[in-house]
Amino acid sequence: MITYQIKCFGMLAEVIGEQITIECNTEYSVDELIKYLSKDYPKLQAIPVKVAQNDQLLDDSAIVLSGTLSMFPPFSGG
Amino acid sequence: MINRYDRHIKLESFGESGQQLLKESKVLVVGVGGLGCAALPYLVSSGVGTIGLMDADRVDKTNLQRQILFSEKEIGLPKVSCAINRLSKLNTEVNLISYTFDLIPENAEEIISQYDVILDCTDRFEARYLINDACVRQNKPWVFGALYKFEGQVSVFNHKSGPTYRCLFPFNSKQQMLPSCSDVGVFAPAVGVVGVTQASEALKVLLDLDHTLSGSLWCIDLLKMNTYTIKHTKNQKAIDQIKVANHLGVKRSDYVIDLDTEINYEGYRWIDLRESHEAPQISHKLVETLPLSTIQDKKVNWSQMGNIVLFCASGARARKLAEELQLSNVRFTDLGAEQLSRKLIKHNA
Repeated sequence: MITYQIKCFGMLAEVIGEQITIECNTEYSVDELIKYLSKDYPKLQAIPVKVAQNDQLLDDSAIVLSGTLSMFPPFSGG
Repeated sequence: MINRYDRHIKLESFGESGQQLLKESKVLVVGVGGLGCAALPYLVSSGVGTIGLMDADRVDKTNLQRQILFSEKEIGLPKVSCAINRLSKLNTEVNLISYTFDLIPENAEEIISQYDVILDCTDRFEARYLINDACVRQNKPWVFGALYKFEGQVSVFNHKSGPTYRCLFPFNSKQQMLPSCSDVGVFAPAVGVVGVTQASEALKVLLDLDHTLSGSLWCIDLLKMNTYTIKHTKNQKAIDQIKVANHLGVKRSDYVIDLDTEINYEGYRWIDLRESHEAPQISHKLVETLPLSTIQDKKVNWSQMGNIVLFCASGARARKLAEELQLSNVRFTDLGAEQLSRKLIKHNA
């Protein structure tokens, strides 16, 4: 079983929650993970999302390893 | 004689030579809002020789909560002249240059080419892509700062062949739908922290100090008092594209909305630009009619309309108008009215 502990920032914390844990049967790519989460959090589809693991930004096609990850959108305010 | 920069000169990484370097340096601050007001005093007091201030706006009452260079008596006056008036008292040795207009694709490269470092103190994605692209073409480093409520992000782009904004955040039409400070509010001290951090990074870049935020996105949450830094890498392909592109910033056709992804139809006002004689008539709770021929007379204030999607019979008129307006809240679909009507019904919108 793969466990992802996801910390969310910015607007994503309001859509998903500040921190959630999900369990899945297989490791997902960044794209697949966002698609998976979008089923439970439809508003996610309207937000551009970046995913980082071990303080390193992941490509959208990169496989997310079991463990802790951060999700954040670009901010625009100034 | 006591040198006013004594406390900087005493720092090993500054010294007399570093201070002289700042005096010979030129920094452009694009946007004199919250971030600009926080960054500018430190650039000025530190003795950066030439500082350009760019903003077309005037002081508004709601600016005063965080835009600390402006006073109550200055409501309605141009931000740049108010800021220069204030800053020139802080340090008469600094040459402050006024630009009371916006950065646009037509002037971006020419203006940016005259500076050593650019500070992005804007509040719009379009401005950031434009600054990024012009800086890549002119080989200038720039310091990014942005906010969401209590949180901030800062990074340095295009510094010593480092990553650019497009490497970290490739253009995504969804960005245009993210809320702004005027929609959701912003915590004034967060604006200050991010703006001052931008000034700090700009000084480090000018002095060629190590440990800049090039290749790192620094994030802070003033509510939870968390900071974290995310490392990101360069996308050479994206940079090469900027260099050969025939446009700067957001492509005008980027205003198209993608209806194949699951979008929230209720989140938009759907504006039918067709004339009243054009069939079929669409009667739907989310659709409003605004025939193109009547727009001139109605003096529509598009930027105040919230998120809207324009459509017409083929998409041609909708595209033309969206591209002319160039507003982040105005997009268009190239679906015809009939097809769009079916989509709206299908999604139970």
